[in-house]
Amino acid sequence: MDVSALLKELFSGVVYMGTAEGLKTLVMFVISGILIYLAIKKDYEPALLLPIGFGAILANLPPVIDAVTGNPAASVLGSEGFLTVLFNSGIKTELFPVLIFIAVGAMIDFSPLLKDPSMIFFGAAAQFGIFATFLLAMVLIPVVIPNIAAMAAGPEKDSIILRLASAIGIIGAADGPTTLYVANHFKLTEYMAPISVAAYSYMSLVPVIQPPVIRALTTKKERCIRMTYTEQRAPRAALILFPIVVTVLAGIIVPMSAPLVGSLMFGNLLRVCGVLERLSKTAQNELANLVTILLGITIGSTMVAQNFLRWDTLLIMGLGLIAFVFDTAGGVLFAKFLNLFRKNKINPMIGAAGISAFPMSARVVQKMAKAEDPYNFVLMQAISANVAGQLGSIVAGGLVITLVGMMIGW
Amino acid sequence: MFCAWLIAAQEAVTATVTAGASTGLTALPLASKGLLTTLFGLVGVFLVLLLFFFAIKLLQNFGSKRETTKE
Repeated sequence: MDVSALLKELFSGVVYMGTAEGLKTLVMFVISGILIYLAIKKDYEPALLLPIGFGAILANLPPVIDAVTGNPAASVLGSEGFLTVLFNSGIKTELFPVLIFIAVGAMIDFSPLLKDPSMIFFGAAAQFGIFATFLLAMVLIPVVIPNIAAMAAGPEKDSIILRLASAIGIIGAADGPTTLYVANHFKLTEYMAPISVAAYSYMSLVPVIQPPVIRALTTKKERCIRMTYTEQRAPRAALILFPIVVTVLAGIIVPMSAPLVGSLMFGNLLRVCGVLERLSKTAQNELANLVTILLGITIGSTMVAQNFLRWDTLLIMGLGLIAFVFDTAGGVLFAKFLNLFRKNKINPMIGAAGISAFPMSARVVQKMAKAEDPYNFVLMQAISANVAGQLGSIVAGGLVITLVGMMIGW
Repeated sequence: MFCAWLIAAQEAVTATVTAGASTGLTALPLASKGLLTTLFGLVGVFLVLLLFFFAIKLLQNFGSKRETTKE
C-alpha cells in the first residue's frame, strides 16, 4: 500500500468533504445549525429542536471506511449504528409515539373539558386542515414529486399518493407522535425525515404561525369577547372514569387509534387515580424527558442529505405549513359559525386552540386575548379546546389510517 | 353446534362483505377515493367527539350524584 492510499484511507472523511456528497453534507450542517440556533437562541421548543439538529449532524457525518476491506464500517448510521438501532426499535415499532403519549396523558388535566364539554367540538373543527391539505396534496404530489410523476397510472401510484397525502395532512394536527404513527403505518420511510421535521418544527412555531391567522380571521371586537368560567371542580369519579370510557369507545369505534388513545388515557389515569403519585410524576418527568431525547435524536437521524435535499422536502414542508394554517382557520371559523346561533358568544380565538399543540396553542390564545383586553381571561376555555384537539387529532389519525387503508386495499 | 354454525355463518358474511366493499373502493378513481376519505374522515371525527361529549355529560351526572350522596 502506497503512502497516498494510506493517507486517503486515514483521512477518508476529509476527502469525502471535497466531493459533491460532501457539499450536500455541508448544507445539512447549516440546516442542523439553524435548528440548534432556533432551539437555543429563540427558545423554540428546544427539547425537540436541539436533539433533532444534533441528530442531523450525526447522520450526515462522512461514512467510516474500513481500512482493511474498504467497505463502509459501522458508524452512527448503517445497519449496526446506534441511530439505526434507535430508529428500528423506537419509530418502526411505533414504541416512541406510544411512550410519549403516556407521558403527555400524565401531563394533561382534562377537568376543564369535563366542566365544559361543549369545547370538545373545537377539537373536531380544528382537524379541518388535515383533510383540506390531504386533498391539496393529492393534486400536487403527482405533479411535483418526480419519481411519483414518472409512475404509470394504476393502483400502486394511487396507493403512494394517498398514503403520502394522508401523512402530510396529519402534520396540520400539530401532533408529532400521531404524524409519526401514520407515516410509519403507511411505510413512508423514504419521506419520514421531512414529515417528522415539519411536524415537530411547526409544533414549536405555534406562537409564530397562529397569531397572524387568528388576526386575519377575527375582528378586534371578537377578540375581546369575554367568556364566563365556573370555578366548580369536576367530580373525581368523572375524572377517573373519563380515560377508561374514552379508551373503550375509541377502541370500539376507531380501533386504529387504540394504541395512541390507550396510551394517552393510561397516562391520564395514572395522574387522576390519586394512588400512583410516584408513577404519574415519573411519566411526566423521567419518561417524557428520556423519550423526548431519544425521539428527537432519532428524528434528526432521518435527515440524511440524500433523503432530505430534494423537492419533496419543500413540498412536504410547504403543505405542512398550509395544513397548520387551515387547521387554525377551521377552528376559528367554526367558533364564528357557532356564534351566529348562540346568545352567549364564544371568543373565536378559542377555536384556534383546537389543534393538538398542548399547551402552547392555549397559551398563545390567552396571550392574544390579554393583549387586546388585559382583564380578559380565556385560558381555561382555550385549555379545554386544546385537550379536545389532542383527542381529535388522534381520532383523525386513526380514521385516516382506516379509510385510506380501505381505499388502497391494505 | 348451533353456536358454531352461527359463528361460521357470521364469519363468512363478514368476509364476503369486507372483500366486496374493499374491492369496490380500491377500484374507484383517485379523486373519488380522496373525496370519500375527506368526507368520512371529517364526519367521523365529529361523530366520535360527539360520542365523547355525551359520555362526558353522563359522567358529569354520575360524578355529581355520587358526591351529593357522600355529602
